[in-house]
Amino acid sequence: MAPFETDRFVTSKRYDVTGCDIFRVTKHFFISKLGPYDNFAGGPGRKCLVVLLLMHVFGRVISWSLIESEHRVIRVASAIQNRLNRIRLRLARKGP
Amino acid sequence: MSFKTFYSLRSLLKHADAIIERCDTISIDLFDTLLIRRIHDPDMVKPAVARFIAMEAAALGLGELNWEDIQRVRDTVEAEQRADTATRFEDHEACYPVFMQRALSIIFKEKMAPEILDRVTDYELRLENAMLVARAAWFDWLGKAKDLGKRVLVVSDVYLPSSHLKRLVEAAGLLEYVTDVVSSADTFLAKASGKAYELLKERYGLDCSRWLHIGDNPISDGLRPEAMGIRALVLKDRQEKYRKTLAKLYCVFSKYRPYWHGRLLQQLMLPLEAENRSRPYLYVEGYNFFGFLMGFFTQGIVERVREAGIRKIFFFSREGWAFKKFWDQAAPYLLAGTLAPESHYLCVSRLALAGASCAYGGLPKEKADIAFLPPKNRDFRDFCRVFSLDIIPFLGLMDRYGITETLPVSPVHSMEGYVRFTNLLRDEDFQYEVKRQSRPANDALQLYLESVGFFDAPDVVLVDVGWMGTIQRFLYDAVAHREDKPRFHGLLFAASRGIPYPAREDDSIKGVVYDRAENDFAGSTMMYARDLFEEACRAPHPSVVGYAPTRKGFRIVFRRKADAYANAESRQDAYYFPLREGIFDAASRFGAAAAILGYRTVDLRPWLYHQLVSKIAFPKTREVKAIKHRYHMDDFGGIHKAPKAVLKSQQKHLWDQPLWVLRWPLVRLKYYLHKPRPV
Repeated sequence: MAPFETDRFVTSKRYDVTGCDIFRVTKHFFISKLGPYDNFAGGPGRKCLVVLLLMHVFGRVISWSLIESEHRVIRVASAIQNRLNRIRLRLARKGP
Repeated sequence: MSFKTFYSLRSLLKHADAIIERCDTISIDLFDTLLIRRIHDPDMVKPAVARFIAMEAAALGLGELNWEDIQRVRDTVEAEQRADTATRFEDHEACYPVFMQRALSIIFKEKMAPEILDRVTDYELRLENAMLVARAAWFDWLGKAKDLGKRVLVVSDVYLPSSHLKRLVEAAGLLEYVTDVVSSADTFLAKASGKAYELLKERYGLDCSRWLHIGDNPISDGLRPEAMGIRALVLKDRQEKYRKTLAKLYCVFSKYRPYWHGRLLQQLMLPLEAENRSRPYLYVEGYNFFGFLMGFFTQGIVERVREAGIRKIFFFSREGWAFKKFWDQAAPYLLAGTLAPESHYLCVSRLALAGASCAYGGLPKEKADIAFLPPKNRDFRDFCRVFSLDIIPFLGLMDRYGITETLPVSPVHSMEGYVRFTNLLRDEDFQYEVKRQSRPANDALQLYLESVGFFDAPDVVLVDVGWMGTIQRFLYDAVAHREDKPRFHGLLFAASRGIPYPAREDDSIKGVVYDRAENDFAGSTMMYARDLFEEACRAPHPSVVGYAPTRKGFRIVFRRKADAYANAESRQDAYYFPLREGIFDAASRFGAAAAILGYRTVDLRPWLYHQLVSKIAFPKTREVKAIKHRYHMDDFGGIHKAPKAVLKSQQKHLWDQPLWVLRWPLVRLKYYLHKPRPV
């Protein structure tokens, strides 16, 4: 069967847009670095792209492994966040 | 007994299957259990409703209100009601009709009327409906429970009363399995405090030991029923968590990077659960690519309609058929009912209007030149065919200027013949004969336009696929003599402007997806594959070839259904059937998602360009193989061979290349960066 005759899903298993998925976005991000290319209002942004790429590819595994201990993970994450905020505040008060 | 937590709906229902015999009553939480939302945050519906209220207020003459102020009023009134409820009940619940009535009274003041609340409620429920999807696994399970004679109650802690919730459950197709729908908004007794369970027990005389409750909140759906001795199952769905996290990420990133706006909109458009079933390749392309493009175009029309306060839209046949169908499904989400303009499908074509447009203004050179744009039009016969003229009365005049029937008069074929032809155009007798012959078709056209109310509004939007605005130009010429002619606001899917459009104060064109006048480098990739878009949008009926007067008034003349053109078109229609199905299925989802996010075309443009560049300028070879149209008929062009020099100069573009060329490395980049776009 020719590839265009095969049946597909509009929403992929990774909850991505079939035919315009995150890999295609990434590919064009790299093409845009090669030469003059439309920058699409700033483009996807490196950090956003990495996070989304990771989430689309590994998000299922992450949610599978973390959901049972979600409350604990959130507690630990917010504790770390608070600690970081406090350090940042302290550094800001001290000045350069 | 302690409540059990499940991490997938399948495992929960498997367990529920095992214990269903021990239960008479099953109560199920509505949101995030029976139904899931496309959006990660239910409050995302509220700004859309506030924008709708602002539109209603504007339509009632209250001026342009800021939707954020309206949202603030709603939040304040809702918070006041919740605070008031808290003084009398344990739960801090609110009731939508009560607080919304109060909020609307504050906003609309003396102009407040009961139907405004109805309209706002309808809109909010329509948006909620569009964002809700029933989880597929429930249908079988609820059917089984119904067959076993179990009482199924749907329970929710929400501000919508049960009458509203029933509409949501019904739209999801679940109402037939359900005994009753109970909402905390009716009694202010909620699951959160456990009072809702007491109410249900009392109202239906339930036995807690034979009662099963299923929900997603560990407190209100787990601990509270468990405290009353009700068997409770809590769903913490991993799959849903993953999906919502992604939706949230797109939402967060789109706040910082405009590029993601369109992608977020597409995320909210995605079909879920049973909607997402196996489809043909072309359906998927229709939904994910063409659907988004058509949605963008529809959004552009909405913006023009709102800016200029236009009350009538005419979609030109035949591509307008698809645009109108898309519009009819998407626009109700994007425009308030009172602002929605009338939309009509207008049976027109270049060929039908070319002749009718000459009845009063004759045939100036600029207009006559249009007949020779296709290089396959060569002689005076081609010219007469394009402008629906009978050649016999012209023979004497032609002889006067040394023109024969077969002499090439197109500038592409012979400059000498073209000079003779332009001399003939200056002849008054020639112009008189053109006007005489064109008059009956023009009279029939006027009657047709009057029958569809074309002259009833001061401004009309004219929608067409593109590319040079020729149909609109001819239509304007055909009605230019009338004092009651409306102002023309032409909106083209893409404007190539191959020949300059004679823009006037009351007649303009604008390309929405692409306009050559605006120098969009990425958008210009559309010009690679114009025929592709024409074929994707074309109506499945023959083209209009003219207008004929009859005793009763007029008759629209369509091309015969049995000729070679029609056969080729019907084969193409059959090939593109799944593609069009995908486009139309995307329409209402685009409308709802665009209403929720409140984006304008300027917000969606970066993603649109990405889509265009990635699909049209950098397509995969198999995409070109599948998506490219099989047949494309142009009845404007003649049957003559174009001169070799012209054929040589006509550049082949990426989508015209054979598939083996597309497999060469960097061929796409070469075309994208170096080759000028066709016009």
